[in-house]
Amino acid sequence: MNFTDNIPDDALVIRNILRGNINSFEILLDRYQDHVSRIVRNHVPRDEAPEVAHDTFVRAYQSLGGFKGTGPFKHWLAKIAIRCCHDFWRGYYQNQENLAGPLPDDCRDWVDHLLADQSAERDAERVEARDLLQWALGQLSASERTVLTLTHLNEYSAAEAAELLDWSVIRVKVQSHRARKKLRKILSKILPQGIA
Amino acid sequence: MKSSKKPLDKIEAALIAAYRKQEELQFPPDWRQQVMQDISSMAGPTAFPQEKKVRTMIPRRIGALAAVAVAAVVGWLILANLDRYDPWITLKPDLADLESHAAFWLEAGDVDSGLRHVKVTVIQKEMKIEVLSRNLEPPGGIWHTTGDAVKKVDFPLALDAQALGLQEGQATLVITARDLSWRNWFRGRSTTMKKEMVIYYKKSP
Repeated sequence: MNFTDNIPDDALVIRNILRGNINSFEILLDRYQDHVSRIVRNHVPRDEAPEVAHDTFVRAYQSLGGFKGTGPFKHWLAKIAIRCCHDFWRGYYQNQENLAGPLPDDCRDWVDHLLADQSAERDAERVEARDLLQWALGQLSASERTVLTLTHLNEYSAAEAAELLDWSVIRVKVQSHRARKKLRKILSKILPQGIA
Repeated sequence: MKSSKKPLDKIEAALIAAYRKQEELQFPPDWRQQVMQDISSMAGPTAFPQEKKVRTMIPRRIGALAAVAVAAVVGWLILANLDRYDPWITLKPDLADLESHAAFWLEAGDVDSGLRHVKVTVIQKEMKIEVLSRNLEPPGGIWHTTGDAVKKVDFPLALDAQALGLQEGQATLVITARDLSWRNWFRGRSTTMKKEMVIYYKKSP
Protein backbone atom coordinates (compact mmCIF):
# COMPACT_ATOMS: atom_id res chain seq x y z
CA MET A 1 0.00 0.00 0.00
CA ASN A 2 1.28 3.39 -0.87
CA PHE A 3 1.60 5.61 2.21
CA THR A 4 0.66 8.75 0.30
CA ASP A 5 -2.72 7.27 -0.62
CA ASN A 6 -4.19 8.63 2.61
CA ILE A 7 -3.02 12.19 1.96
CA PRO A 8 -5.49 14.00 -0.26
CA ASP A 9 -3.85 15.99 -3.01
CA ASP A 10 -4.49 19.72 -3.40
CA ALA A 11 -7.02 19.23 -6.18
CA LEU A 12 -9.12 16.96 -3.99
CA VAL A 13 -8.95 19.35 -1.04
CA ILE A 14 -9.96 22.25 -3.24
CA ARG A 15 -12.86 20.26 -4.66
CA ASN A 16 -14.02 19.58 -1.08
CA ILE A 17 -13.83 23.26 -0.16
CA LEU A 18 -15.73 24.24 -3.28
CA ARG A 19 -18.42 21.75 -2.34
CA GLY A 20 -18.88 23.64 0.93
CA ASN A 21 -16.53 21.79 3.26
CA ILE A 22 -14.80 24.90 4.54
CA ASN A 23 -12.87 22.99 7.22
CA SER A 24 -10.80 21.37 4.46
CA PHE A 25 -9.15 24.74 4.04
CA GLU A 26 -7.19 23.95 7.21
CA ILE A 27 -5.32 21.30 5.22
CA LEU A 28 -4.15 23.99 2.81
CA LEU A 29 -3.24 26.22 5.75
CA ASP A 30 -1.13 23.40 7.21
CA ARG A 31 0.61 22.70 3.95
CA TYR A 32 1.35 26.21 2.82
CA GLN A 33 1.61 28.38 5.91
CA ASP A 34 5.42 28.16 5.87
CA HIS A 35 5.56 28.78 2.14
CA VAL A 36 3.43 31.91 2.39
CA SER A 37 5.26 32.96 5.53
CA ARG A 38 8.62 32.83 3.72
CA ILE A 39 7.28 34.96 0.87
CA VAL A 40 5.65 37.67 2.94
CA ARG A 41 8.53 37.76 5.43
CA ASN A 42 10.80 38.67 2.54
CA HIS A 43 8.55 41.41 1.25
CA VAL A 44 6.92 43.27 4.11
CA PRO A 45 8.03 44.37 7.61
CA ARG A 46 8.08 41.50 10.10
CA ASP A 47 5.36 42.95 12.30
CA GLU A 48 3.06 43.22 9.27
CA ALA A 49 3.84 39.78 7.84
CA PRO A 50 1.24 37.75 9.81
CA GLU A 51 -1.48 40.18 8.70
CA VAL A 52 -0.39 39.98 5.04
CA ALA A 53 -0.19 36.16 5.27
CA HIS A 54 -3.70 36.19 6.73
CA ASP A 55 -4.92 38.34 3.79
CA THR A 56 -3.19 35.96 1.38
CA PHE A 57 -5.11 32.93 2.63
CA VAL A 58 -8.40 34.82 2.82
CA ARG A 59 -7.95 36.05 -0.74
CA ALA A 60 -6.93 32.57 -1.87
CA TYR A 61 -10.12 31.16 -0.34
CA GLN A 62 -12.25 33.81 -2.03
CA SER A 63 -10.62 33.13 -5.40
CA LEU A 64 -10.51 29.35 -5.15
CA GLY A 65 -13.23 28.97 -7.78
CA GLY A 66 -10.85 30.40 -10.34
CA PHE A 67 -8.03 27.92 -9.66
CA LYS A 68 -7.86 25.92 -12.86
CA GLY A 69 -5.38 23.32 -11.66
CA THR A 70 -3.18 23.74 -14.73
CA GLY A 71 -0.20 24.50 -12.47
CA PRO A 72 0.68 23.65 -8.88
CA PHE A 73 -1.48 25.24 -6.19
CA LYS A 74 1.72 26.36 -4.48
CA HIS A 75 2.59 28.66 -7.43
CA TRP A 76 -0.93 29.99 -7.59
CA LEU A 77 -0.81 30.80 -3.88
CA ALA A 78 2.61 32.44 -4.26
CA LYS A 79 1.14 34.72 -6.89
CA ILE A 80 -1.58 35.80 -4.49
CA ALA A 81 0.96 36.31 -1.71
CA ILE A 82 3.10 38.55 -3.91
CA ARG A 83 0.05 40.56 -4.93
CA CYS A 84 -0.95 40.96 -1.29
CA CYS A 85 2.56 42.24 -0.51
CA HIS A 86 2.39 44.62 -3.46
CA ASP A 87 -1.01 45.85 -2.31
CA PHE A 88 0.38 46.31 1.18
CA TRP A 89 3.09 48.63 -0.14
CA ARG A 90 0.67 50.47 -2.38
CA GLY A 91 -1.51 51.22 0.63
CA TYR A 92 1.52 52.05 2.71
CA TYR A 93 2.88 54.60 0.27
CA GLN A 94 -0.50 56.23 -0.12
CA ASN A 95 -0.21 57.25 3.51
CA GLN A 96 2.04 60.31 3.39
CA GLU A 97 3.06 59.84 7.03
CA ASN A 98 4.80 56.62 6.11
CA LEU A 99 7.24 58.19 3.66
CA ALA A 100 10.93 57.63 4.46
CA GLY A 101 12.33 60.13 6.92
CA PRO A 102 15.99 60.97 7.48
CA LEU A 103 18.49 58.14 7.75
CA PRO A 104 18.98 57.08 11.40
CA ASP A 105 22.44 57.88 12.81
CA ASP A 106 22.99 54.21 13.68
CA CYS A 107 22.74 53.30 9.98
CA ARG A 108 25.22 56.00 9.05
CA ASP A 109 27.63 54.68 11.69
CA TRP A 110 27.15 51.18 10.30
CA VAL A 111 28.15 52.39 6.82
CA ASP A 112 31.28 54.09 8.21
CA HIS A 113 32.16 50.95 10.13
CA LEU A 114 31.56 48.70 7.15
CA LEU A 115 33.74 50.77 4.87
CA ALA A 116 36.47 50.98 7.49
CA ASP A 117 37.11 47.23 7.90
CA GLN A 118 36.58 43.87 6.26
CA SER A 119 34.01 42.28 8.54
CA ALA A 120 31.18 42.46 6.03
CA GLU A 121 29.84 39.04 6.96
CA ARG A 122 29.49 39.93 10.62
CA ASP A 123 28.16 43.39 9.81
CA ALA A 124 25.53 41.93 7.57
CA GLU A 125 23.83 40.44 10.59
CA ARG A 126 23.37 43.77 12.26
CA VAL A 127 19.97 45.34 12.66
CA GLU A 128 21.28 48.61 11.24
CA ALA A 129 21.88 46.90 7.89
CA ARG A 130 18.24 45.83 7.69
CA ASP A 131 17.10 49.27 8.80
CA LEU A 132 19.24 50.89 6.14
CA LEU A 133 17.87 48.57 3.47
CA GLN A 134 14.29 49.31 4.55
CA TRP A 135 15.04 53.04 4.58
CA ALA A 136 16.46 52.89 1.04
CA LEU A 137 13.65 50.64 -0.25
CA GLY A 138 11.17 53.05 1.35
CA GLN A 139 12.17 55.64 -1.22
CA LEU A 140 11.14 53.46 -4.14
CA SER A 141 7.62 53.08 -5.44
CA ALA A 142 5.53 50.04 -4.49
CA SER A 143 6.11 48.41 -7.89
CA GLU A 144 9.83 49.15 -7.89
CA ARG A 145 10.14 47.78 -4.38
CA THR A 146 8.25 44.59 -5.19
CA VAL A 147 10.10 43.82 -8.41
CA LEU A 148 13.50 44.63 -6.89
CA THR A 149 12.80 42.45 -3.87
CA LEU A 150 11.85 39.58 -6.15
CA THR A 151 14.65 39.80 -8.69
CA HIS A 152 17.55 41.28 -6.80
CA LEU A 153 17.10 40.29 -3.18
CA ASN A 154 15.34 36.95 -3.67
CA GLU A 155 17.07 36.11 -6.97
CA TYR A 156 13.96 35.17 -8.91
CA SER A 157 14.51 35.09 -12.66
CA ALA A 158 12.77 37.74 -14.75
CA ALA A 159 10.42 35.06 -16.11
CA GLU A 160 9.49 33.85 -12.61
CA ALA A 161 8.93 37.40 -11.36
CA ALA A 162 6.84 38.16 -14.44
CA GLU A 163 4.70 35.11 -13.75
CA LEU A 164 4.19 36.11 -10.11
CA LEU A 165 3.40 39.73 -10.86
CA ASP A 166 1.41 39.00 -14.02
CA TRP A 167 3.70 41.39 -15.90
CA SER A 168 5.62 40.93 -19.14
CA VAL A 169 9.25 39.78 -18.84
CA ILE A 170 10.39 42.99 -20.54
CA ARG A 171 8.53 45.09 -17.98
CA VAL A 172 10.13 43.15 -15.15
CA LYS A 173 13.59 43.61 -16.64
CA VAL A 174 13.14 47.32 -17.26
CA GLN A 175 11.55 48.07 -13.87
CA SER A 176 14.06 45.94 -12.04
CA HIS A 177 17.00 47.65 -13.75
CA ARG A 178 15.60 51.10 -13.03
CA ALA A 179 14.78 50.25 -9.43
CA ARG A 180 18.29 48.94 -8.77
CA LYS A 181 19.83 52.01 -10.33
CA LYS A 182 17.61 54.19 -8.17
CA LEU A 183 18.51 52.20 -5.04
CA ARG A 184 22.23 52.57 -5.74
CA LYS A 185 21.77 56.30 -6.26
CA ILE A 186 20.00 56.54 -2.90
CA LEU A 187 22.77 54.55 -1.22
CA SER A 188 25.50 56.62 -2.89
CA LYS A 189 24.14 59.72 -1.15
CA ILE A 190 24.93 58.30 2.26
CA LEU A 191 28.56 57.51 1.48
CA PRO A 192 30.96 59.49 3.63
CA GLN A 193 32.44 62.61 2.00
CA GLY A 194 35.35 61.85 -0.30
CA ILE A 195 34.29 58.26 -1.05
CA ALA A 196 32.67 57.66 -4.42
CA MET B 1 44.86 44.17 2.80
CA LYS B 2 42.49 46.78 1.54
CA SER B 3 39.36 45.65 -0.31
CA SER B 4 39.30 46.33 -4.02
CA LYS B 5 35.50 46.43 -4.04
CA LYS B 6 33.87 49.77 -4.62
CA PRO B 7 32.25 51.13 -1.45
CA LEU B 8 28.80 51.08 -2.99
CA ASP B 9 29.16 47.44 -4.07
CA LYS B 10 30.34 46.58 -0.58
CA ILE B 11 27.34 48.23 1.06
CA GLU B 12 24.98 46.60 -1.41
CA ALA B 13 26.48 43.15 -0.82
CA ALA B 14 26.26 43.60 2.97
CA LEU B 15 22.63 44.72 2.73
CA ILE B 16 21.70 41.74 0.57
CA ALA B 17 23.46 39.40 3.00
CA ALA B 18 21.60 41.01 5.93
CA TYR B 19 18.32 40.67 4.06
CA ARG B 20 18.88 36.95 3.47
CA LYS B 21 19.72 36.23 7.10
CA GLN B 22 16.24 36.86 8.39
CA GLU B 23 14.90 34.65 11.14
CA GLU B 24 11.78 32.53 10.76
CA LEU B 25 8.52 34.37 11.23
CA GLN B 26 6.55 33.70 14.39
CA PHE B 27 2.81 33.76 13.89
CA PRO B 28 0.48 34.74 16.74
CA PRO B 29 -1.01 31.66 18.43
CA ASP B 30 -4.55 32.43 17.25
CA TRP B 31 -3.51 33.27 13.70
CA ARG B 32 -4.91 30.09 12.08
CA GLN B 33 -8.11 30.38 14.07
CA GLN B 34 -8.52 33.95 12.82
CA VAL B 35 -8.10 32.87 9.20
CA MET B 36 -10.64 30.09 9.60
CA GLN B 37 -13.08 32.42 11.35
CA ASP B 38 -12.77 35.00 8.58
CA ILE B 39 -13.35 32.55 5.76
CA SER B 40 -16.28 30.98 7.59
CA SER B 41 -18.00 34.36 7.69
CA MET B 42 -17.56 34.86 3.95
CA ALA B 43 -19.59 33.85 0.95
CA GLY B 44 -18.26 30.91 -1.04
CA PRO B 45 -15.14 31.07 -3.19
CA THR B 46 -15.31 32.93 -6.49
CA ALA B 47 -13.01 33.43 -9.48
CA PHE B 48 -9.38 34.45 -9.24
CA PRO B 49 -9.20 38.25 -9.26
CA GLN B 50 -7.41 39.25 -12.40
CA GLU B 51 -5.86 42.68 -12.76
CA LYS B 52 -7.97 44.83 -15.02
CA LYS B 53 -6.63 44.60 -18.52
CA VAL B 54 -7.41 47.18 -21.17
CA ARG B 55 -8.77 45.29 -24.13
CA THR B 56 -8.35 46.87 -27.50
CA MET B 57 -9.31 45.73 -30.97
CA ILE B 58 -5.73 46.17 -32.14
CA PRO B 59 -2.99 44.11 -30.49
CA ARG B 60 -0.55 46.35 -28.62
CA ARG B 61 2.49 45.49 -30.73
CA ILE B 62 0.75 46.15 -34.02
CA GLY B 63 -0.54 49.44 -32.60
CA ALA B 64 2.97 50.43 -31.54
CA LEU B 65 4.42 49.54 -34.96
CA ALA B 66 1.66 51.49 -36.72
CA ALA B 67 2.31 54.49 -34.47
CA VAL B 68 6.03 54.37 -35.29
CA ALA B 69 5.28 54.09 -39.03
CA VAL B 70 2.85 57.03 -38.90
CA ALA B 71 5.36 59.09 -36.90
CA ALA B 72 8.08 58.28 -39.46
CA VAL B 73 5.87 59.29 -42.40
CA VAL B 74 4.73 62.49 -40.70
CA GLY B 75 8.32 63.29 -39.71
CA TRP B 76 9.52 62.72 -43.26
CA LEU B 77 6.75 64.88 -44.70
CA ILE B 78 7.48 67.68 -42.27
CA LEU B 79 11.23 67.55 -42.81
CA ALA B 80 10.78 67.37 -46.57
CA ASN B 81 8.36 70.25 -46.73
CA LEU B 82 9.58 72.68 -44.09
CA ASP B 83 12.18 74.45 -46.21
CA ARG B 84 14.77 76.84 -44.89
CA TYR B 85 14.90 79.64 -47.46
CA ASP B 86 12.48 82.36 -48.51
CA PRO B 87 11.75 82.81 -52.21
CA TRP B 88 13.85 85.43 -54.00
CA ILE B 89 12.83 88.25 -56.39
CA THR B 90 14.82 90.50 -58.69
CA LEU B 91 13.50 93.31 -60.87
CA LYS B 92 15.54 94.90 -63.65
CA PRO B 93 16.21 97.67 -64.51
CA ASP B 94 16.27 99.46 -61.18
CA LEU B 95 14.20 102.50 -62.15
CA ALA B 96 13.16 105.22 -59.72
CA ASP B 97 11.12 107.18 -62.23
CA LEU B 98 8.41 105.53 -64.26
CA GLU B 99 7.28 106.91 -67.56
CA SER B 100 3.79 106.17 -68.76
CA HIS B 101 5.20 103.02 -70.40
CA ALA B 102 7.89 100.98 -68.69
CA ALA B 103 9.25 97.50 -69.31
CA PHE B 104 10.83 95.45 -66.54
CA TRP B 105 12.26 91.97 -66.38
CA LEU B 106 11.01 90.10 -63.35
CA GLU B 107 12.77 87.03 -61.94
CA ALA B 108 11.61 84.99 -58.97
CA GLY B 109 12.53 81.63 -57.59
CA ASP B 110 12.69 79.32 -54.59
CA VAL B 111 15.51 76.85 -54.02
CA ASP B 112 13.67 74.45 -51.68
CA SER B 113 10.04 73.64 -52.38
CA GLY B 114 9.56 75.77 -55.50
CA LEU B 115 7.22 78.66 -56.29
CA ARG B 116 3.51 78.69 -55.61
CA HIS B 117 2.48 82.17 -56.63
CA VAL B 118 3.84 85.49 -57.89
CA LYS B 119 1.80 88.66 -57.62
CA VAL B 120 2.52 92.26 -58.71
CA THR B 121 0.45 95.22 -57.50
CA VAL B 122 0.82 98.97 -57.69
CA ILE B 123 -0.35 101.08 -54.77
CA GLN B 124 -1.00 104.75 -55.18
CA LYS B 125 -2.70 106.64 -52.38
CA GLU B 126 -5.82 104.64 -51.56
CA MET B 127 -5.77 102.78 -54.86
CA LYS B 128 -4.41 99.24 -55.17
CA ILE B 129 -4.20 97.81 -58.66
CA GLU B 130 -3.29 94.22 -59.38
CA VAL B 131 -0.97 94.12 -62.35
CA LEU B 132 -0.15 90.45 -62.44
CA SER B 133 -1.09 87.31 -60.57
CA ARG B 134 0.49 84.09 -61.68
CA ASN B 135 -0.31 80.79 -60.07
CA LEU B 136 2.66 78.44 -60.35
CA GLU B 137 1.37 75.61 -58.21
CA PRO B 138 1.95 72.22 -59.86
CA PRO B 139 -1.13 70.04 -60.47
CA GLY B 140 -0.84 68.19 -57.14
CA GLY B 141 -0.86 71.42 -55.09
CA ILE B 142 1.44 71.42 -52.05
CA TRP B 143 1.88 67.69 -52.47
CA HIS B 144 2.91 68.25 -56.13
CA THR B 145 2.34 64.58 -56.73
CA THR B 146 1.60 64.86 -60.40
CA GLY B 147 3.99 67.59 -61.49
CA ASP B 148 7.34 69.15 -60.73
CA ALA B 149 7.57 72.33 -58.70
CA VAL B 150 8.66 75.50 -60.52
CA LYS B 151 11.99 76.54 -59.05
CA LYS B 152 12.47 79.72 -61.08
CA VAL B 153 10.46 81.97 -63.37
CA ASP B 154 11.44 85.03 -65.40
CA PHE B 155 9.18 87.08 -67.56
CA PRO B 156 8.78 90.63 -68.87
CA LEU B 157 6.63 92.96 -66.82
CA ALA B 158 5.12 95.82 -68.79
CA LEU B 159 3.57 98.70 -66.87
CA ASP B 160 1.31 101.12 -68.71
CA ALA B 161 0.57 103.67 -66.02
CA GLN B 162 -2.06 105.44 -68.00
CA ALA B 163 -3.88 102.25 -68.93
CA LEU B 164 -3.84 101.18 -65.29
CA GLY B 165 -5.42 104.47 -64.31
CA LEU B 166 -2.44 105.69 -62.30
CA GLN B 167 -1.86 109.36 -61.83
CA GLU B 168 1.42 111.20 -61.91
CA GLY B 169 3.29 111.20 -58.64
CA GLN B 170 4.43 108.75 -55.97
CA ALA B 171 3.49 105.06 -56.31
CA THR B 172 4.70 101.77 -54.84
CA LEU B 173 5.29 98.64 -56.86
CA VAL B 174 4.79 95.58 -54.66
CA ILE B 175 5.97 92.15 -55.83
CA THR B 176 5.18 89.12 -53.68
CA ALA B 177 6.43 85.57 -54.24
CA ARG B 178 5.19 82.64 -52.15
CA ASP B 179 6.65 79.15 -52.07
CA LEU B 180 5.14 75.64 -51.75
CA SER B 181 6.45 74.87 -48.26
CA TRP B 182 4.29 73.99 -45.24
CA ARG B 183 5.49 77.00 -43.32
CA ASN B 184 2.96 79.50 -41.96
CA TRP B 185 0.29 76.82 -41.58
CA PHE B 186 0.67 75.53 -45.12
CA ARG B 187 0.53 79.00 -46.67
CA GLY B 188 4.26 78.82 -47.45
CA ARG B 189 7.15 81.22 -47.02
CA SER B 190 6.82 84.55 -48.83
CA THR B 191 9.07 87.39 -49.94
CA THR B 192 7.81 90.87 -50.73
CA MET B 193 9.76 93.44 -52.68
CA LYS B 194 8.54 97.04 -52.45
CA LYS B 195 9.79 99.62 -54.90
CA GLU B 196 9.00 103.31 -54.50
CA MET B 197 8.63 105.06 -57.87
CA VAL B 198 7.55 108.40 -59.27
CA ILE B 199 5.20 108.23 -62.25
CA TYR B 200 5.27 110.95 -64.80
CA TYR B 201 3.74 111.26 -68.22
CA LYS B 202 5.77 112.50 -71.14
CA LYS B 203 4.52 115.79 -72.46
CA SER B 204 3.41 115.59 -76.07
CA PRO B 205 5.80 117.54 -78.35
